[in-house]
Amino acid sequence: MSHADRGDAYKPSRFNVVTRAEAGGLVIYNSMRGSIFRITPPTDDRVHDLLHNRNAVLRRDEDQGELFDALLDRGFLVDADHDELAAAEEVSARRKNRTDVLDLIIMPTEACNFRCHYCYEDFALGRMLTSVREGVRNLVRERHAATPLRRLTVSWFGGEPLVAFEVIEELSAFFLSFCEENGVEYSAAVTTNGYLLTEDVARRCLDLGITRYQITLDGPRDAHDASRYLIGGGRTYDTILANLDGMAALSDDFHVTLRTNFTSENDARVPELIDELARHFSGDARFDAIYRPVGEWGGPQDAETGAHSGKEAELRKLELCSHAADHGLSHGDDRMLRPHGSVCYAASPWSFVIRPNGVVNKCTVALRDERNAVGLLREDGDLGLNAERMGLWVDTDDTSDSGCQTCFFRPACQGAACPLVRLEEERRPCPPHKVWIGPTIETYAAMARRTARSKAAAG
Amino acid sequence: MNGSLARGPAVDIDALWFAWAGADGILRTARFDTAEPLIRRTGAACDAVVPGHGPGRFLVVREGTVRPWTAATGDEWPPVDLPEGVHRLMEVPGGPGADTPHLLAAVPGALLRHGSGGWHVLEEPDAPVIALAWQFRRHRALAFTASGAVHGYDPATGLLEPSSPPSADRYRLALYDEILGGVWALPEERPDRAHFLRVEPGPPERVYDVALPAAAVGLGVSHSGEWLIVRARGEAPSAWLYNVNGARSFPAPPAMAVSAWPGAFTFDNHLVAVRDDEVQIVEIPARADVRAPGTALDIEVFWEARPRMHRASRVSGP
Ligand code: SF4
Ligand code: SF4
Repeated sequence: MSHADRGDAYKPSRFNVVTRAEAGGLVIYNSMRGSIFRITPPTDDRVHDLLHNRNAVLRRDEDQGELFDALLDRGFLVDADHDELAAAEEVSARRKNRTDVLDLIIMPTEACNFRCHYCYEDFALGRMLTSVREGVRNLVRERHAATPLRRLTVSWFGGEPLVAFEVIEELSAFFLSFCEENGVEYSAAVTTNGYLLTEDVARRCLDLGITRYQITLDGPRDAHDASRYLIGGGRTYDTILANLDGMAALSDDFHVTLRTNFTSENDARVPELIDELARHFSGDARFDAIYRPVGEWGGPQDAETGAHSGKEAELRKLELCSHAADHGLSHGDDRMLRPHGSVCYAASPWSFVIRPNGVVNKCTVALRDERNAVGLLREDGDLGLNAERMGLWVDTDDTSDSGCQTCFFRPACQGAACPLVRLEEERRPCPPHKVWIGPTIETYAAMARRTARSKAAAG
Repeated sequence: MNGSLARGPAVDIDALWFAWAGADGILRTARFDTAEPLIRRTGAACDAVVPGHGPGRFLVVREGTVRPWTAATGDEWPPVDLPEGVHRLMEVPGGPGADTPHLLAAVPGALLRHGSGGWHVLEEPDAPVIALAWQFRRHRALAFTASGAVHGYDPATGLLEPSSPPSADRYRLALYDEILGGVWALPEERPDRAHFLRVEPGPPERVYDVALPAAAVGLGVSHSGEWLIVRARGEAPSAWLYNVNGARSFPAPPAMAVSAWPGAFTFDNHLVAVRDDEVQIVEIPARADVRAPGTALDIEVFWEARPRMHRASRVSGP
């Protein structure tokens, strides 16, 4: 639409966030577009004037026409009669009503070779049963036959999924050939502790279409080995790092997210880890780092893990992210700020967790909660879904919450950042990056600026 | 899992089916994915039973022959004559034909393979083979010898890859643990200790040397890698559970005492003991809450109460 076609009255988008940056200037963010901009003086004051009053009715004035148009193009200004609430509702409805996608989070086993200090899993179930594997294949066939799939996404999870690598191989071979024969887009990821990800296993994973990896390192060698050890206490850091080096030596296209869980106990050591990882992977755009405070995830050691909470944790996370970016390791976590970016998979009707015994879950945390057992996969591919239990996860979102309906973060979160919080605590599950949106966007804007500068300097 | 020829219980690859021979030499099976296990007396004579390579599949040994047999369907394959002196036996995938099972057997002085032309010597290892096991994620059969050496057999290529012993230790009993990717082995000289040797991806390497609660004559491991079953020599308690992660031992739960020694773990971490037509099952915490240092533990409460960490693994439908 050309600017001449637009109406002549405008308003600031209700999905804007405008914050003054400590370093000067302004940072602006819009959750319908997921974009963040830093505005430097003297433009910052003019942008502030235009955006700060949500109820303003604005007219394009030739003096600042270019600025006005730029804000319009980027969604910070919208037509005065544009119904933004309806638009947000549509974003949410489009996600929920999709029938052309299927997301499977598959646990090839619940067993794990590690016994991390803070882990909530109890490792009760062994390798996925033969009949359940057949059920998974039939589920995909039947789903595609019912309404053609455009996309199949598989995430291997556990336990430690590579402990049962043969299950991953068996099912991946099926997914690859089924998707190729039927014109379905296929992508796969694995969350692994990295211990068994030797060069030949990594090679095989890539050949099987697994291109996204999340691997956790909790600090430099001694800190990591103190919290992420083998059953019986064996060290793991050196093996994981050697495996990562092996991956870096491959020429394939993949993405490794290096995750660090931090508590008040290890967080002072995390910068040392960043320095070491930077020596190995800095400048390799396939490696990226993220930081997560250890929450009380339900493990037996919850009381002793030194779990961080609230603002302190969020600010520390941003500091670490920023430090990693300065070392060429992080591109920021801004995915979560994009439309749908903060919606938990549990909230989408087309996403299922398949346990090794065929129990179908929505959430990967509340594994012991009966409300989370929404079905039981049969060998013929029938999920045996219980509509009432499904509703607990997919229908408790912005559609039934007036607070969410008027929230500036609604397109990103849709009231569905964590259905478990709604179930357990009967409150809105506002994610921490929404609660601390000011420092979050300021940090990401600064990171982007520094990265651009260093790229320019590198020529 | 070590392929030894015993009356059982043998556990199938899904750890849902158990098979064993009673004192009358008759084969029994039980299936453990139902609320109550379904125990069946098959009527077939059986001297020993070991797992086969398939769901519900076993190798039934009788009068010098072995025949693959599937518990769910009752399907039986033609018998194969066993070589003289066989003491370890396993089935590997990819047989030469539908009617010819692909078997490995350890006899004194040799490791044998059975294919279309009968039994062939694969290797003459430096020491007796004391464990035969299938490494699922590596698609290899593993033969572990009393010297601590590992011979890896790839059925796809037919190649055998030997390794050297990692130390001068000699072992009298061993079993493979898929979770940690290694072998628990009992040294000949120290019956009250167990060594854990990591066997992947490189050659065997000793990782742990742990004190067992008693001199062991038998060993089992849970599918979670968390527990060893230690069958003790001599008086009661005749069996212990050793928690690998917490390095702590517990006498086997009281329900097990009335039966034969605790035999094996199910897919969902229940400890099962069998004797003739009787089956005892106890749910064991897959991850023991006992690893917190200094925690005083009332053993009776520990075994008698519901496991403190339980999950929806037994849900039979929403
Ligand atoms: S519902 Fe909450 S706890 Fe469960 S997977 Fe989603 S975000 Fe995690
Ligand atoms: S849960 Fe919170 S952040 Fe999410 S839409 Fe609702 S009010 Fe906004």
